[in-house]
Amino acid sequence: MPEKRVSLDQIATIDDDNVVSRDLEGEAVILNLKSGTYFGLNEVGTRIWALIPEHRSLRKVFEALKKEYEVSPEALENDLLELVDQLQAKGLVSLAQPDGRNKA
Amino acid sequence: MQAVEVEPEQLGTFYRYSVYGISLRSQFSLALPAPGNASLQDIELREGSRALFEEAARGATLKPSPTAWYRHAHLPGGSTYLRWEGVAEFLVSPDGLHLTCGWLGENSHESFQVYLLGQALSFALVKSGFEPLHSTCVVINGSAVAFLGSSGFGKSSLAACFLGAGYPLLTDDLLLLQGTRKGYCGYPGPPRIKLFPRVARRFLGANLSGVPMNSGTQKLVLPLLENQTHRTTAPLKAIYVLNSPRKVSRQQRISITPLSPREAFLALLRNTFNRLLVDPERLHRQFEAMTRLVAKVPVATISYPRVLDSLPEVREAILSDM
Repeated sequence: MPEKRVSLDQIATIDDDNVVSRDLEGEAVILNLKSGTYFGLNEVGTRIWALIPEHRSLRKVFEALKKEYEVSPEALENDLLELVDQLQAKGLVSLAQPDGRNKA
Repeated sequence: MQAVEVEPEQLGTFYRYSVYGISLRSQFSLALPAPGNASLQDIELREGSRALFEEAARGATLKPSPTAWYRHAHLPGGSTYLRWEGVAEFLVSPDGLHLTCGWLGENSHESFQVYLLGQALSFALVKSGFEPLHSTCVVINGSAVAFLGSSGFGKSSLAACFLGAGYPLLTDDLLLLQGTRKGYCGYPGPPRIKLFPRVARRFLGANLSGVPMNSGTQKLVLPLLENQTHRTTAPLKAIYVLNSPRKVSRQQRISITPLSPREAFLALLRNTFNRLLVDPERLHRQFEAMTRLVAKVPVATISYPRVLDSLPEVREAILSDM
């Protein structure tokens, strides 16, 4: 099984200089100004997108989601990490270790 | 024709016109009304020599537009060069306030105006901060109703059906909107519509006075009478996004489906009039403009078979939906 690139131990940061977003009635639209690419998030993804700048720590984001959604913690963690992995791949968030080291 | 101001100048005569809420100061005589008291922006149109364009575009690599109908090049310094082979060429200044124009063939003045007041002017509008939509718009009971869709989707044909029933046209092909306290208003475009002869005969009558858009098409540029056009702004009531004709069979029923704000946002992006100016500043401005628009104006898709005789039924479906 391939090693997960994202873990709850990491800190996520949205690049505010190059990313703009709006919540349109619970669904986020996001624009990467560098690449000119647009993204859309469903309701859960939009909630995660809002929690990232609020908490930055993915573990704290996870804990907040656990209080809001009635799904198994395993499924929630998996969905969260999968989305964050996609957001990083698209250049929308950057990840770092708690000690400040960037994720390679 | 309409009365216009004429101001003789050392470098030639300039005419003044109004289109899309923009005041044009033009060296060319155009089939447009005179400007009113207020305008959103002043843009100057000048004639350029072949030598001027050759010098400006020297060394530039011309790229085809997404539709391949024209070629363009972004020049050092921020100007943009546009070229419709055999028709016209244009140079748009970095700030969008100056448009230099040149003829390249024997096409009619009406044909030249189509490209000048459409794609060429769209570059000037976007560079000067506006976000025009690729839309044809009619006025129903004082409110603007916009039809969005790619070229060939039937926006003008649908508008012609409304025209035939007495509803005036606000604009054909390019729609400029401005926010108001209550929502948005649309600005009048050139008083003409582009239709194939069959569609024009069906809804506007047999006495056609249009000229072909260019030598490669039968599509006509048809001037409209004063009672066929709405010459002031109109509050925008609704936007209908036309589904692709290829996705609808002739037997399919007419359907109107409201879009969520996110779906509406994506639909508006797909129907921006100008997709070639993609610097971050423009994209950011466009993003903000479209998210504000979908928050205030309902957007729906409309799907219908592209059968000419069905258009009156489509018209009635839209009127009922409103």
